[in-house]
Parts: sequence; C-alpha cells; structure tokens
Amino acid sequence: MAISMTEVAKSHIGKQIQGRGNALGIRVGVKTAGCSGLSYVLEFVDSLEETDHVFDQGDFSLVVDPKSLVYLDGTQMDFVKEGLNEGFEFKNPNMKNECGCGESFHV
Amino acid sequence: MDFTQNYFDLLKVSQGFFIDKGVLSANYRDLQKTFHPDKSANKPASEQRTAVQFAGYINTAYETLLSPVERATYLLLLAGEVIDDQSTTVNDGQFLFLQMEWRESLAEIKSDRDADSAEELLEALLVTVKQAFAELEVAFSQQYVDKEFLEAKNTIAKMQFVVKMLKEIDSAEAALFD
Amino acid sequence: MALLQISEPGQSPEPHANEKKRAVGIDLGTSNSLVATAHGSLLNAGGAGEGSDGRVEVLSDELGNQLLPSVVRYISHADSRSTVVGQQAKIAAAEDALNTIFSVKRLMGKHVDDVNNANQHAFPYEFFQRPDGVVAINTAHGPKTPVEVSAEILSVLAERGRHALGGELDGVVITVPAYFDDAQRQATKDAARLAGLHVLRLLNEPTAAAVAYGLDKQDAGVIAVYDLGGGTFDMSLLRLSKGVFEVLATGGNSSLGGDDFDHAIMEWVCTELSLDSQALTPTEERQLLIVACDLKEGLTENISHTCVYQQHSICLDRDQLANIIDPLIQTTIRSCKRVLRDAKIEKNEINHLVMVGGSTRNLRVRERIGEFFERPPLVDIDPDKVVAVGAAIQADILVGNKPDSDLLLLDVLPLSLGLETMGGLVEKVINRNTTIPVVKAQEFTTFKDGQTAMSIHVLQGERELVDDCRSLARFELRGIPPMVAGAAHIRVTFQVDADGLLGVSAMEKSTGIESSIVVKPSYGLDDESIAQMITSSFEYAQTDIAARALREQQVEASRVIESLSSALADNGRALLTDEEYQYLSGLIVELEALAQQSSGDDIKSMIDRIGKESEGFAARRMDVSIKQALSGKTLDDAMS
Repeated sequence: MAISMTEVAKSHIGKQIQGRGNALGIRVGVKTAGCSGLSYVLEFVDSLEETDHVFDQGDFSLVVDPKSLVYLDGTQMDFVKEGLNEGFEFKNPNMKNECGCGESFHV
Repeated sequence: MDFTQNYFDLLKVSQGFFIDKGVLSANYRDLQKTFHPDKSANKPASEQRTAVQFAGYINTAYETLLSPVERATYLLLLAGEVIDDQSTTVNDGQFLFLQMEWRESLAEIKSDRDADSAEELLEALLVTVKQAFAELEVAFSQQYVDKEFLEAKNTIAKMQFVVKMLKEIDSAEAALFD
Repeated sequence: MALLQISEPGQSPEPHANEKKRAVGIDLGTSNSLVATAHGSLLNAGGAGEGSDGRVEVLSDELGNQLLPSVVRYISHADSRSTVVGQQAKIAAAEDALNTIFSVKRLMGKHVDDVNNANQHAFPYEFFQRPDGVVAINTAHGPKTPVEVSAEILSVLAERGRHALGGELDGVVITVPAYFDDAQRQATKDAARLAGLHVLRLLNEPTAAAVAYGLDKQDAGVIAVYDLGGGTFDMSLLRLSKGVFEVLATGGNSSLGGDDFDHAIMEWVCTELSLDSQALTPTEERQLLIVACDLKEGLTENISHTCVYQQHSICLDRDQLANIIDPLIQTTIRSCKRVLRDAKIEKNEINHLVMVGGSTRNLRVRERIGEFFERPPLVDIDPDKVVAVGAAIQADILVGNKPDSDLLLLDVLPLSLGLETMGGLVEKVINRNTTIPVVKAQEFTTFKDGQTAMSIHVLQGERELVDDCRSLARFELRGIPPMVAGAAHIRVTFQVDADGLLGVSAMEKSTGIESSIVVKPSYGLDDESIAQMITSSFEYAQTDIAARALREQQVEASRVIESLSSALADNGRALLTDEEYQYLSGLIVELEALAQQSSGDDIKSMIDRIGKESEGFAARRMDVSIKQALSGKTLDDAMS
C-alpha cells in the first residue's frame, strides 16, 4: 500500500510546514460527506494516533489512518495551478466518479 | 441609492445639450450591472422592491437623456424653467409655413399609387425633416448656453412638431411596406 | 477535481461548503415543454448523464425523453381519478378528446370572450363560464382553468428537476413569449405558484434563446431572434455588449404558431376530401389534425408525403405546402418589419439571425425568413431546446450560484400601457419597447367639487380605442379629501417589474394621504381563487392517495383469497381439523366482504390476520410437500 507525491507537491508541503512551524507532517485521508460519498482530508499533523501509518518523505512525514489508506492506495498527490487557483490534486485510481464540483467522489 | 440625483450626474455625462451617447450607454449598462433586480433576485423581497424602483429610475434617466426633446426639457427643468405642454405655442410664421409644406408633401406621397416613387419621395422628405431637426438642436444648445430660456422653450415646441412629423413619416413608411 | 489546501488539524472543510443552489429553467411551451439546469447548480452525481451542451443539461424522463408534450388528460372512473401528463396523455387524445387538453398555453390569461370570438374550432373542448371571466374547460375532474392545467405540466417538470438535483428546488425561471401581455404573464406566474414553485423570473423566450447563443459566440453585435413555436410567434432584436443583452424591440403575435399551420393544412385536407370542416366531431378533428401534422413534418425530409385518413390517401408536396402556409409566414414577416422599425435597425446591421421554436424546422419558414433577413439562420442549437438552455443559464445566475457573472438581461415592455380617457380613448402612459423595470407617475385631478373617489381603467395595447385594447384592471381611488374641483392632485404610480408585470399605487399630493386603492382586475384569478385551488389540490391529493391505497389492498386481498382457497381445496380437509377448516373458510368470506367496500387499512389488517392465522396450515402444507418431494428419491437427489 502506498501513496506517492510529485516533487512539486513535496516542495510545496515542505515550505508550508516550514511556514507554519512545529508540525509533525501532513495527514491525508478521506471522510464521508457530500452529495457523492467521500471527500479528501488534507491537514497538518500535531499528534499521531496509535493506528496511523507514517510514511517518511524526507523533510516531513505523510500520515494516513488505516481506513483511509484502503481508499487512497495508489493515489498520487500533485500540486497544480489552474488560472488564478493553485492547490493540491489527488489522482486516485480507486475513484469511480466525482460530483459536478469535484469536491467529493465515489469509490 | 439616491432617487433625487440629477440624471446627468447619475449617468456621469457632462450637463449640456450635446452629450456623448457612447459614454452614456456604457455608463448606463454599468449602472444596471450593479442595480438591476436580477442582481438581487435571491435577496429578501424588500431589497428586490427597492431594486425595481432604482432600476426604474436609472431607466427613466437613460431614456430622458437619450431623447433630444426630453433631454432639452430636462435641462430647462434643472434651470428652474417648467414647460407647460398646453400653453406653449409656436408663433414663428416661417416655421408654420414649413410645417404645412411638409404635410402637403406627405399627403401627396400617401396618395401616390406607384410604390417605388412614393418610397423615393418619402426618403427625400425624411432627409429634409431630419435636417430641420438637427438645426433646431444646434439652436437650442446655443440658447441654453446663453440662458435665453424663453427662446429655448420655443425651440423645444418646434422640436415636438418635427418629432410628430417624423413619426407620421415613419407610419407612412410602415403602411408602404406592409 | 477541486484543488485542496492544507488545513489545520480537524479543520478540513466540508465539501460543498459553498453549497450550490438548485435552480432550473423551464420552457413551458404550447406543444412541448422542457426543463434544463446549468452545471453550476448541484447535479446529482451520475443521475442525469452528460448533456450535449457542456454547461447546460436538458433533463429527461426515465425513458430518456427530453420533450414533455404539453398535454394533460383528466381521467375519472367511478372510484378513482388521476391526471396524466405528457406522451401518455397525447396518445389518448383522439379517444378522449374532451378530457385531453392540448395547447393550453393559448388559453393562458384569456377572457371567455377571447375564446368565443376567436376561432373556437381550434379548441375541441367544452368551455365553462366562470363568474370572474377566466376561461375554464369542463373535464372529467370538473372545470379546470388554464392556470391549473399548466400547473400540472410544471409539476412534472419540477419533479424532473428535483430528481436530477437531488432535492427541493430553490428557484425556477419560466420562459414566456416576449409578446405575452400582463394577463398572460400573471397567469403563468399563478400556475407556478399553484405548482409550489418559487419563480425567480419570467424570462422572454427570444431573450433566453439569445443568451444560449450569445454565450457561445462571446461577441458584441445585434442579434435577431425569430421564434415560431407551436402557438406563439415572437421577434426580438437585441444588442449584445460586454455581457449585457439589451432588447431593442420586440413584437409578434401571441396566437400564431405551428398549430395554425396544422389547421390550415387540415382545412386543405377537408377540401380535398370534400368534408365540411365545421361539422367534424372532436375525435375526427383530432385525427385530421394528427394527419395534418404528419403531412407537415413528413415534408421536412421528403419532397412529397402521403398520409391515410379513413381509407383515403392524401398526398401533399412542398409547393402545395408553401401555398398553404405562405400567408401565415407573411404575417410573421410583417411583424419583423415593425420590430426593425421600432428598433431603428437596418437589416444589414444584424450580425446573427437565430431561429427558435419547433416550427422553424419547417424548411419553408427557414427559406422565407432567411430570404427576408438576407442571411442564413443559425440553427446549431436544437430549436426545441435553445430556450430552456438559456433559461437554465439565467436561473443559475439569479439563484445566486454565479455572483461574478457579467451577464445581464435588459428586457422591454412588449405592449404599451395606457389609461382610459374621455370618449373611450386610450392615453398611453408607458410606451411599448420601454426598458423594464419602469416606474412612471401620472397626475390626476378631480373634476367636481367635493369629489372623494375616482376610477381609473388600465389597458394594454397599441390601439386608440378602449374596446380594441386589453383591459387589465380598474382601480378605484377612494378617500380623496373633499376639495374644490381641480384642487386635489392624485399621483398614480405605475410600476412594471422585471417580469413585465404591472403594479399600481396612488397618493393625494397636497395632503399626502395615501388613497386606498381597491384593485379589481378586469378578470383573472384573484388570490382567493388561487388559494382555493391549492387547497383543493391537496384535498384531492389525499383522496387520490386513499383511493390508490384501497385499490392496492383490494388487489392484495384477492391474491390472498385466491391462494388460501386453492390451498384449502387442495389439502385443507386432509391437514386441518373441521374446526380449523371452518375457521379459515370463515376468514376468507370476511375478507371478501371487506374488500368490497372497506378502507385500505381495514383490508390490510384483515390480510395480516389471515396471514397469522393460516401460518400453522402453511407449515403443515410445507412439511407435506417436502415429504412428497423426498419420497422415492435419495437425499443427494433432493439436495442437488
């Protein structure tokens, strides 16, 4: 089971963690919500849960809870710019469809 | 929203008879982009009602400034001169004679059986009448600047005559083409 | 997908924090109606499928049909009543002509006299005279006003919207012909109210079409929209500039459309077959209209087309069709000329000619109108759908999903508003083609000493005489302070809102007294009638539900009776004691009696009781059948 990220994503996360200061890393995950089932979680990590999987990314840790890992296996994180917007994008091979606005998805 | 605002200030064109219609229309559209009721269609009913009134006010302002006769009348009103439709009469003999001439030509054209020649004559009459209107516009503008309000009122009355004539030509044209 | 930002622990935003609102655009047409939604509105994932247009989706029913025929059939049997809308109703038109309402849009906002004066032959219904002057049609469900019939159509479309968007609608935009007068617009809004919909805006059909095209083309210029539907004709000229659509002028005929082509062709068929078109039964007439419509539509593909009516074969070719419908097309061209004059636009200034409405599929129409405007018409968006697409775009904006949108529609009043003056003449207060909203005040004075009331008659139309205009309302101004003649100054304010609907208020200026106005619409449904219709529709909804529940339980009861009786006959005697046998037989008789008359609930509890009481019998029967099945076989056989 693995989640990968592009170099651009890594460097942006690194910078943001530096900017915030004292974060263990970032947590990615999924939660149930929205019109179409699941939505992504992307947060700084201040404390770890016992069951968390921790992936070392060099400058920081990538933290995923075991349930989310099932849905996120094989996902690649990227950082992209679209016009004036920029942010992180999840390329998730498990995703079957997403709702019109792209904020939630089905697996 | 100020319902007493001068139309010229509201639409941001300088107060005077000759105005830049391109600027007028562009400013009008910008105002409506902000105040039209469509912009508050999902707001409370009271806000929508105010929007209808203010958009109505903007429309009236635009329409007034767009029409030469109404614009002229409005300028005099701002100067404190009220035009009473009933009492203003035109005493200019030469102008009245011109009026009669136009009417006669129009009546002749209407009775013309040859549509092509009627169209041509109507077009010629239209050019003449439009020319006369343009001259009245220049006259009014000068009288307004010189504050000769009595003469200016007289000019507006003449303009109204000419506008009526233009309408009649228009409906004669309509009858011709239908 | 949406781009994500890193959040503080536990602060990941809920998806759809900026929840999109649910809004649809409805094209309530004479022949067909449609509903569409813009993708800005929340589309149920996978619910509706991808539309042909990238941004707007025309919603379809479960069979995939986007067009909903604007046909409503009222069915009534002894014990139940139901309403059928759309294709199912249309199919039954010939067999149940009196209860199957077609083209109800042509009756919207009409007075009884309008229908009597018009070619009544166009409507094969029995009309009912309401005291308020509103037209009503006698149906199997009693008299129905066009507002109620339209509400049925709107309800079906709204349900499609709810299904696709996954919940109650926040608002709808309903399109109306640009040339609809105040009464017709008001009737449309009343229908929406009856259907429980929140109307964001009544949008003129040609304007909606221009929006659908204009957003594609993204440029500035003059757009001419020629909209010939089933029963209405509109012509509008618009100027597009930086997202603002300014209607320059509009005109048309709110009772001219493809229906009239069908009637003209039907008259021709009658002449060919030596039938008296005035002496047809409603069913014959409906059948002949179907033939006429087939002939017309067949000629879109072929040079000539043949149909059969009662063993007579009828052949029509394109030249003959042109002869039949050219006079009607000519009428529309006259309107086009007037609109060009009103807008002070020359034909060569027009950048795009847009064709809208099913009747513009007619090749003769395209040919003649293309000739008149000296340019080929734009037909890239399906002429049936283009209005709904434009309405959906506007609905999405009005409901608040696109706060940054540049799009703005500046529409106009289609017909002048005026007041009755001395001698039955009409004095115009607001001219046609004035941009709306518009607010105009007019002053009135008393003409008698001590006069405390006066009556004002508001009319709509272009003609000089009161009798030739549509009477909208009579207003009574009361409570004017008694003064000498001419001293009171009553300021009456007329306001036309962005829907094109009129409102009036009045005030006596010298005293500042707000005169009490008794608004008495010349005709049209008052609030009370509408409230009553809403209540009665609920009432019937309940009896309808009760009737359906009863029918279902009756079906279930007869199934239970059937199976228990046959079980008893099969081996009841063998498996049951006499007492048990009598008891179960008694229950059957009881259920039979209940099913004849009782309520669904009573039947249901009896069915449940029989289910319980016969459990033992059923178990014994099961044992027997297992034994029978196993006898003479090995266990392996039985298990495989």
